[in-house]
Amino acid sequence: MKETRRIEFIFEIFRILVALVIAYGVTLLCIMIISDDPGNAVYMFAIGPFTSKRRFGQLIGKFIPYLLTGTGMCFVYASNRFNLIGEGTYLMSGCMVTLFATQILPAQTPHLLFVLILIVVGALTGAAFGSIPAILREKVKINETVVSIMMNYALLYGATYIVKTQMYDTSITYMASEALPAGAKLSTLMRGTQIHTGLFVGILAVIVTALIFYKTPLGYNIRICGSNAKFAKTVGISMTGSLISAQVLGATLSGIGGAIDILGIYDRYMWTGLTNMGFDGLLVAVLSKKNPAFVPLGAFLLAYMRTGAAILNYTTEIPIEFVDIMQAIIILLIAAEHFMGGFKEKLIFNVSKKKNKEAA
Amino acid sequence: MSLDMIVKFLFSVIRVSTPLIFGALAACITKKAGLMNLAIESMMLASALAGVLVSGATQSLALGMLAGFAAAIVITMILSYAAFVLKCDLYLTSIAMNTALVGGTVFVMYLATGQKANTSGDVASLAVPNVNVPILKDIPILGDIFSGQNALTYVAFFMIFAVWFFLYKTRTGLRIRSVGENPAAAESVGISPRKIYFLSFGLSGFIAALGGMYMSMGYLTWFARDMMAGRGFISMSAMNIAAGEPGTAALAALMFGSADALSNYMQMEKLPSELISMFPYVCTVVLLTVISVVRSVKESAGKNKIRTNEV
Repeated sequence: MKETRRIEFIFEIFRILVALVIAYGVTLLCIMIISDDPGNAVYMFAIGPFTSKRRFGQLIGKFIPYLLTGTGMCFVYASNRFNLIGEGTYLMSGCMVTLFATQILPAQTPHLLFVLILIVVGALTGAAFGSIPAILREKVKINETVVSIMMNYALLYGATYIVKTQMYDTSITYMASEALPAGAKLSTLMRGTQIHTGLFVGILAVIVTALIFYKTPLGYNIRICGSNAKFAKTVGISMTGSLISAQVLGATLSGIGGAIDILGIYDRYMWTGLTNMGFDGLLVAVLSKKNPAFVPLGAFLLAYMRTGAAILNYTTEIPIEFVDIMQAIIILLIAAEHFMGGFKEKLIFNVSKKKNKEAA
Repeated sequence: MSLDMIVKFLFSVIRVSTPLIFGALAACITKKAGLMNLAIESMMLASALAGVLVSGATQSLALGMLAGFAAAIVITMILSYAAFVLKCDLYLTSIAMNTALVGGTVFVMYLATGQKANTSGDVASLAVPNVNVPILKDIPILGDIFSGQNALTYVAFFMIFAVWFFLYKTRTGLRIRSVGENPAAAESVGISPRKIYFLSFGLSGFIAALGGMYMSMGYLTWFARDMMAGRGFISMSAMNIAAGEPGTAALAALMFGSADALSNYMQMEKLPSELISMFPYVCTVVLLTVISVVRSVKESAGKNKIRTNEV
């Protein structure tokens, strides 16, 4: 039995690696085919993110919110609910944080207090909106995917409406809020980069989530409900409570992510379309196989790919969008239970056969 | 508001509702097979781009439309293969597909035309013509609203009937519905659920393709990045409100279309249109809640009835 589990574990890692290699290979091939200068393009995509301090900072700037949305999505994905509200709460809490920072709180608030209040605002916004699809799913049995997708669009338009009516900056040609006061912004850790103190919040989130997942009854219940609902019901785990808290916690983390991102990187709120951070968070959760301890790895990988694509986008003519295709290939290959499934079964079968022979 | 303005508004309601009707019907077919089609957006995008590019290259509307259908059906087949053969989570696959196609269409457009925003200047694509309906066009008011629409709009209204007929009056439709009700029971009488899933997704892709091509070869005459802008999801929610009934779903699509037309009108008048744009989404969530609360109350009432009868 132990042997089987060991094989399964090794095999999972192997499978993720194969999926990554295939996706990466396809992407590199595409770049080589369409680029006039393939050598340079591949170099920019693969090594580009590490060539300068500024670019590496860009990578970490993307990495920080992925940590938060990724751990958030771990909760949701581990509970086997397909709730995508993280996308909308990310955006909405960015908006609410900006509203509080520019309109409600005085600009002279001490830095630390200011930031703490704003992060709490972000978290509460996430929890408040995140609880809607969760409660509707667990109490009235409405498909959480539909509700969360609908709410994402509603929150997008709602946030734009709030910006336009409450904090519109007319001195700028594009739709944006007034500038955030200096005291509200997270300080940078390394000058000239986008690496900001939000990194600590992200790391803290990963640690706390991992502890909740593996050291508390709540985490255990969530994992059991997600992996085997019938078993959970039979042994008397409160499914409704565990599943609602999983989804709300996920949305809360994503809300904190939105707050940190706005305060760390942006000068003002200016998102006019869905940020895709929720979906990216889901990808991080898929890459880390629902295990919060692996989230930093998945988040770094995704940030690396995205930064590489962004660099490619402005150093060559290749559009950034090809990463979306790569992302889809990775999701498909990792999520496909039967991708190389026969191979795994064969391995396990052979090992058991050998053992039986030894025993006999 | 003058009569003339109202007529113009109703005309535009039908105009903007057409893709939603196609999308809602596409969603109905898979819903009746028991599956939610979250990937309508990607099917529409694929067919919209393929239609524009191929009709531009060949200068043949028929070939362009054929390519549009083919593109959408290829998407559905990849989706079905991943979900029903490789056993990926269907929702996960669909969402991945949507993200991939938003980017993928831009990528293909760039390869074909060198543009990243839209194809308007670079591809001389063909459009599906508008049709003046004889007799109807001479009737005042009604003629102004219903005549002179794009040919695909009339196809959409015909499709409402066709989909209903297919689902309720044909053998295959019955099979689809029986798999939707209970796959195991259907399998026990020799219907392969997997085949039915492939079939219903394929048909769904075919109808969604019409919606996609309407957007790029009728409503507009070019392809623009992310031009569906959530229409696939709006039509899916129209289907959800109607619980998969084609007629009701089309009505819901018309309702959402009116909200869309109203927000267009408000944007022209420089009014903040965001609240109206929110309407279809908020409305869906509220209606779904009301419907399922009513249903659960009814169900528990029904249970009590049986209990009292027993006594």
